[in-house]
Amino acid sequence: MTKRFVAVLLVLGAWVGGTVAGSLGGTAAQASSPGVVIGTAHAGYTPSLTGSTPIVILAVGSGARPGEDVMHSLSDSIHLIYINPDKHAVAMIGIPRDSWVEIPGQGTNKINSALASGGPDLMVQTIETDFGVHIDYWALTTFWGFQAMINDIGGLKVDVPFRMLDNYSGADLQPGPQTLSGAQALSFARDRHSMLMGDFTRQEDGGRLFLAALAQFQQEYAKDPTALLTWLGAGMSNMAKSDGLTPDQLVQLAYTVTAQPVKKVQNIVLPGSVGSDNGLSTVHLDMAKVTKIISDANDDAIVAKQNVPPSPGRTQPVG
Amino acid sequence: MPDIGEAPGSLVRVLATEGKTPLKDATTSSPQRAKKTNDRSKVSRNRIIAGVVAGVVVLGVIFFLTRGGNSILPIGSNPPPGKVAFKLNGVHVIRAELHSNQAAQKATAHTVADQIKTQLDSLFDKAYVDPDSWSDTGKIEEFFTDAAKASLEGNATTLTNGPNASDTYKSVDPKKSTIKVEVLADAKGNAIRASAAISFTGLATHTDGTTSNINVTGTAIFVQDGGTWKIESYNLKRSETRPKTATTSPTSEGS
Repeated sequence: MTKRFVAVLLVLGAWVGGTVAGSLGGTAAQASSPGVVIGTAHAGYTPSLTGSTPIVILAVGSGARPGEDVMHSLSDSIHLIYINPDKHAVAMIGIPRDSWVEIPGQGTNKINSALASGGPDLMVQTIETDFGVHIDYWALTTFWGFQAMINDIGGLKVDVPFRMLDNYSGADLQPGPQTLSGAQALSFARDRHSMLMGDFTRQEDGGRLFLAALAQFQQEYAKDPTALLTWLGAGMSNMAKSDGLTPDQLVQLAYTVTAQPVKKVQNIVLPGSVGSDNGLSTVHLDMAKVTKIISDANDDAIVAKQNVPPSPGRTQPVG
Repeated sequence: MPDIGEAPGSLVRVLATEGKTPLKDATTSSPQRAKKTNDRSKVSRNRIIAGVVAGVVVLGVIFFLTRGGNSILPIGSNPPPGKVAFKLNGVHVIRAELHSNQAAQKATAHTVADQIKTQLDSLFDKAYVDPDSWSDTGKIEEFFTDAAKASLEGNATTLTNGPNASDTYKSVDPKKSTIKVEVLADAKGNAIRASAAISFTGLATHTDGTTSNINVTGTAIFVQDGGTWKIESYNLKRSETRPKTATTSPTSEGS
């Protein structure tokens, strides 16, 4: 009797205990039923420089041939690059290399001779004095450095505006979008014989390459942010730069341009007319217009529409 | 001899007592003693049975409390998940200067890669595996630069298991996860920046018993900050497969 009672009690106890516990467990499980996260979520963060005072970089292409002094040769392309981090504005201002200007301590000469006479420091001093610009940094590259840079990033996608055929620069390009090798990109940047406006258009083409590089960099960065290091490596290892420009600042600049809308980049060439001085083919800048352009850029890296000169590059190609 | 009349019903104690009593009682011989002994044996047996009943009830309760995916007690639930251990799938140097000490750059790159692996092991452990931190971006701040920290809270659902992770997940067990590291180094081999291409997988067990794979992929760029490598920028995607083997019908889908 006792045994039966105990056996019944045992089964009953186990059932009651288990049932109570089971119902508790069920309630808890139901209460915590998941708001299951299925699918994808995305997160990203890119630092950037701040400040509305434009950062001004002088970018110079040295015309040195192998074996020549890179820092003391005639410059082939000259650009002032204004960056306003707060306004996401960039103005690229090309200075025709044949511009007839006052070079401190050297008299009047073509602006490209400043590099040959006094290196990057004199080039900076010349532009600061003649145009009223404060240059924060300079960067200089060579023909072979430029080519290597383009090759290191796997070529540059450029929309060639018209047929370019020029024995001097080696340009032999069909019109249309295409990926240029380092050598092709260099010929594109140097060609001044395939267009009527010669040196003016050449400076604009230099800006066009900057724009193409910016667009490509942003595309690659968006796809894979490690592209930032690849591009930095390509740039840093193939150019000389001013002492004050640290690798860290270059990284910060690179981050900043990842957020720079390409459409908000102005590609301007200082206006002027072609002339001749001392038997040299020269460019006489229209200083009234140049002053307005530089003044606008100095303020916030944005040149007012009414001060932007017409593009020199869309004139009929020669030949 | 323990006084079984005062035994509190501990199963262990009852069984221990039972084993000793007959041996002692076997040495008595008088009828009175025999009766007393008989009475004691009955009392003893009843208490043993009561103890067994109590034990079975306790076992039944424990069984239901800890069964399957509905366990409400940690006792006997899944073993604790392992720690995240990324496999280093490659280390690459990016030169910042043309003429460089390549041996120094290579050595630096491997050292940096190991340091970054350690950082990512710890970060992903806190962000996705450790229930004490997997909802809280504050717990992973230490891995980011001051500037990047401000972005964490707004990205909580990607950078952690989300604010209510413990309502959703019981555990996340790290599976095969890899990184590839690139180091931008100057001519002397000093690292300027480093990047990691990340692929993390974790097997999530949900509170309803279902499982899913959590995948986190993307890249991060590191800078040396305060003696360690911290994330300066990142671009990460967190995806999760649909839960498998539902023991109960799912209560919600998507997010």
